[in-house]
Amino acid sequence: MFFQHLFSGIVLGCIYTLFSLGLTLIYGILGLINFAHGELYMFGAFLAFYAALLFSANYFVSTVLATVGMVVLGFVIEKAVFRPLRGYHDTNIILSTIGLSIFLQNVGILIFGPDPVRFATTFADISLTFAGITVGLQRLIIVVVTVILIIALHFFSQKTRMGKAMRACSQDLTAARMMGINVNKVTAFTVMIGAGLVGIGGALVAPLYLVSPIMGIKACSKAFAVVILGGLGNVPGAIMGGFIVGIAESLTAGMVSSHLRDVVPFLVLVFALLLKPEGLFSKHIQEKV
Amino acid sequence: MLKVENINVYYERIHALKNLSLEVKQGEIVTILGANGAGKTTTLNSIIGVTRAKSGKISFQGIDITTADPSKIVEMGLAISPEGRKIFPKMTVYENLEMGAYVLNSPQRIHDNIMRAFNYFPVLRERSGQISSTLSGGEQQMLAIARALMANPKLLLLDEPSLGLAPLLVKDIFRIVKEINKDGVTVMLVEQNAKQALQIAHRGYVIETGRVFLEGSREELINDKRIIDAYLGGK
Repeated sequence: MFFQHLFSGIVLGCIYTLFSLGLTLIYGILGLINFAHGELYMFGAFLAFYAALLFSANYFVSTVLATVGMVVLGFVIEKAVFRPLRGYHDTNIILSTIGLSIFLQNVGILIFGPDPVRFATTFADISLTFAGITVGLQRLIIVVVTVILIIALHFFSQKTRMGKAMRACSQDLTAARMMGINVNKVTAFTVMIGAGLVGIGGALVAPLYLVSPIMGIKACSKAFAVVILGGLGNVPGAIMGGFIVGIAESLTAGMVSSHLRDVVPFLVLVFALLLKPEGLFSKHIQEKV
Repeated sequence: MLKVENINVYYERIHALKNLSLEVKQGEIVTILGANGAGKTTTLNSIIGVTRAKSGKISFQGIDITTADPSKIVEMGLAISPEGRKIFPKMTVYENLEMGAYVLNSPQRIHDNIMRAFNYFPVLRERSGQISSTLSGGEQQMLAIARALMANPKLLLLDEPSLGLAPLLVKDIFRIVKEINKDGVTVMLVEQNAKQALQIAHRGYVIETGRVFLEGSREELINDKRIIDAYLGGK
């Protein structure tokens, strides 16, 4: 039973990770907490759903189409919302992204309707059994895709020119500008990647749960627990935090009481803020004189 | 080569630079001296484009760069080793150098420039794979200068390269700056360490509370009584 819940926790951790990576990347470079990230997750799920419905595309094609759509949406949001906010006070920025979140929720209700929909895929009910653990095929896909994306993101940030420029911008934005790094391009790219990742997350969970315009709200507040646990702006921290919260939540729900499911992430958040508010995985780098 | 004409810079309500003008000619080392808060760093930051002048004009090789984006300014041949070094702390020495060459697109040229940087600063070759926050202060300063050289600048802006370094190291760094200048790079050197700066500079400006207070050749400045009293520690 333990391993069954552990597996569910890993699947949940994957979703939290895909969600939180964008949140933490955007914070690291734009210095902005995107309260509308949950709505991007919701749009990813709906785009995949409608791509499958309208083009009768198979699940993989519709996920890819949804991802492309999300990257485009990320580009638009960066240009239309985040960029004009640059230089304003934090309060203005936070209120604006909360506003964006409400706006996108209502756009979702207008376009997709207020009622939850079910995304039925041909293999949603297929599951495999290894050593007493039942593994749903869709959940296995989630794990595999997340692992591939984490590796791809790592490779991108370590080896490519844009990836290195993103790291440079997150470490010292002014120095990055002084080196001639085009910061507008880097921030646009960051939001596009973040939106793409969370959109894939939405498309991946769509066949498991109901898809609705308000699905992003709870996911987003849990993801805040993840990124704060990992340290805002810290990419490895977001990954570790995602799996810690996912596994803790799933084990508690399965072994203690399912009523406590939603309590766990916030309990983790409270303890993280009390004991190590800079994040479990952030080291303070001392400046040399 | 570089002409700054009557620029005014404000931070909120503080008038940081007041009608400041100066000029750098090809091949020179020009030093800017002045006390803390006089506006030296603001001057350099306005030239590289991360701080904006409200009025006045900055031109480089005859082209107006007053409102140009820093990425364009660096592409044109200006580079800076900023105040406080501002190296990328979690990146390796090698990656920091790569970031300095961000505006160059050819991997071959980037590689050549890294080799040239290693020739100026051999210690960086040994530290190449090291995370740069683990370097000593002097090594970080060398990295900041080497990183600025990576973009093949025609004019190199150095903001207080001697700050916080041991006297022996300062001497070393100034020797290398002189060498870089001999190799054809024009240098604009902001310093509080007037004695050292005037040893290698051809000309200098003294800035006080956002204005040019004095300008002259090396000899004129070294022998100016006001400079001797205020910046060279008296007789």
